[in-house]
Amino acid sequence: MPMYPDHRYELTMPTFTRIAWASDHAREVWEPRLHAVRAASLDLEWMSVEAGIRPCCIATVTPAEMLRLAPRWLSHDLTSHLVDVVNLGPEDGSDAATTGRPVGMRLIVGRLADVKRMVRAVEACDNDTIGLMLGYPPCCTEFFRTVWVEGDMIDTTWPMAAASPGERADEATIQLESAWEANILWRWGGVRPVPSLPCRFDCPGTLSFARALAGVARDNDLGEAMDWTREILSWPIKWSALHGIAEITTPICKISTPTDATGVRYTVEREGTTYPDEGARGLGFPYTSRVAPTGAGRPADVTSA
Amino acid sequence: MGIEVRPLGVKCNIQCRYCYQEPQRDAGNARMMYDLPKLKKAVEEAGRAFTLFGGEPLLAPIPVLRELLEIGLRKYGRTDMQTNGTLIKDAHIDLFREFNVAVGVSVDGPDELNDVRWAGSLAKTREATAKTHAAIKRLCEEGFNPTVIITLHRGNATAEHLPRMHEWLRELDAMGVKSARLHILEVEDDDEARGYALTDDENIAAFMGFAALEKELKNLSLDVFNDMRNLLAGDDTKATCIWKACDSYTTRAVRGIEGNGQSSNCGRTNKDGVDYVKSPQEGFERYVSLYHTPFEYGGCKDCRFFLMCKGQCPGTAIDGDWRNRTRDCRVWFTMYETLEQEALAEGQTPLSLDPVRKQVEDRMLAAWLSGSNPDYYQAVLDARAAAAAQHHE
Repeated sequence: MPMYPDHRYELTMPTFTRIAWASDHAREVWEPRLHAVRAASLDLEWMSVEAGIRPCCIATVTPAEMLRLAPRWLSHDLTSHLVDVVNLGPEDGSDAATTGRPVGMRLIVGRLADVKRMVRAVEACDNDTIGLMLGYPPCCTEFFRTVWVEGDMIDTTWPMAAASPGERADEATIQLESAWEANILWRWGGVRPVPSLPCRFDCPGTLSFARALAGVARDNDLGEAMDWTREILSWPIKWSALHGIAEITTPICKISTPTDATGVRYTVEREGTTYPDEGARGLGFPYTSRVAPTGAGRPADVTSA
Repeated sequence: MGIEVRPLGVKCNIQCRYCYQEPQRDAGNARMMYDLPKLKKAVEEAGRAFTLFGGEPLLAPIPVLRELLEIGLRKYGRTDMQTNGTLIKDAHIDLFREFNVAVGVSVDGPDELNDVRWAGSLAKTREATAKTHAAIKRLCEEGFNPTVIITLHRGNATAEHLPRMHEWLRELDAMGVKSARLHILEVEDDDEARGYALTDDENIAAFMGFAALEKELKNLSLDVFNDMRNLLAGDDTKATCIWKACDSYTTRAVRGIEGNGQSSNCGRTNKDGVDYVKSPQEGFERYVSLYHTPFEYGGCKDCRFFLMCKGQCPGTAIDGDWRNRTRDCRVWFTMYETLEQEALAEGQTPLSLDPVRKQVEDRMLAAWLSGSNPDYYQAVLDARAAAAAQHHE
């Protein structure tokens, strides 16, 4: 399976991430949970630094969040360095769809010496050191350099799937299974197991990284959000790309966002192990792979509501 | 925006073999229940006149219809309804009169030409067709002058059927039917209905024939041709949604209100059978993308009719994927070419051949990139005025 899709062409799409819910009920139940997951992800970034999982993180925060977090960072001997000011989307922890275009500050957070080293690496575009400082698995850093930097792609999904074990229905469709810890397809909805872009759906380094982050979450009262993360990432999900527009179809919603422009549709179908009670009934994947609900829309071992 | 109120979702008393709502039924999403208080609240808050829609809206009991129509009259002065006409009885006619209802009837032709609108057996189908035609006649006699929606397929619009169809349209014209909308049969490649679809050449021949017929009709207009002529003239202000850069996540032209009060989109894009809730944010990425995507990939790059057509309805897109242009591209391209020639013959400069076209395209692209979707009418006026001023300098 070739790493890069064929039939690529030049097309620059505007920035957008839009969501359509499968039903009002699905939205009522899951939208607050998605917000909780996104908020927890922000805290988990710096908490993982504080816990020694990695030297630095990149956190995108609103000015209000900065006021909340700066004293806490200081109390943990952490400092921050402003890298950029960006418009926030759902993947950054703020719902641009309902709040307009809020502005966020992209910060490097870590201990002073580490932040300095990270800043030097960013200025030098030294991806290897950046990946090392962010705790990313070396194989994923190499993957990022190959695909994003040298391959000039803005979406790593297809190369990631092409490098993973799975069924090839045809040259443009991959069906695969993966542990939730390496399922990155919900990232446009703000739910991700790791902050890095995994090189494969079975990347061992990513699995370890995700488990370490989950441990930090549970040690810091973020267990509920982590349970929702695991639940969401265990559902079936489909990513497809055509003409520079990606559509991510999940049991509860679909999301559209820019991707690399291709003249044929590329599809990745990641099988699920559970399905939410609020999930839609529909034709074709991910709907037909519905498995028996586990009750209350959550895995059986989730204890907190 | 048109408001489509669907008291019983897509539930219907007949089973048209090509129905675009079939994926919802196949997926088990045909709601059979309604919640009248929630439905009435949603209709009260709709803010504008609505269309009772289905499925078949007349499956709803008379008292329910009365309550909804009462809101329509009180708040908006009228209500529209789209029905297959088979269930219209005296009580319905009384309701239509009492509550100022404008009726649209979905029907594909007389007798056997309507057989694809299947009712379970051939005898029941013909019986249903007879009821539909009796209803149209009755509505005309009662002064309602209904509109009709006709889907073109192998059962009514091949060369052998067209003379009969033309005769029938003349009858409708004489009866007082005001307007007919012609639809190309919407099918997917793996769809059972594929067998009913006309070829592009057959569709073109049918449309050409209807365009010629329209000139001899007195009351009845075929709205698709009016739309296309106006669009070529640079006026898109009254064009129907299929030409107006519809966003499949929000379907600006159609807002559905389901039996439980839930807000939904136009069902034509529900290829996976899921009746998605309207997205909170409009977007027109499809049109930015189609403008730049080569034709051989399913895009519209360099098409001189792009401004008018915009890849047409996303519900008719190639492979059922809204990111593609319409699968009926060749039909519409040929029709635009024909009407373009017609305009030239009348001494007009159609927008497709107007030197200002590129400027208008750039303005529309800029609008879509910023997330808005204005009419192009003003942009055409501005560009033509600027060109005229430059010419006089």
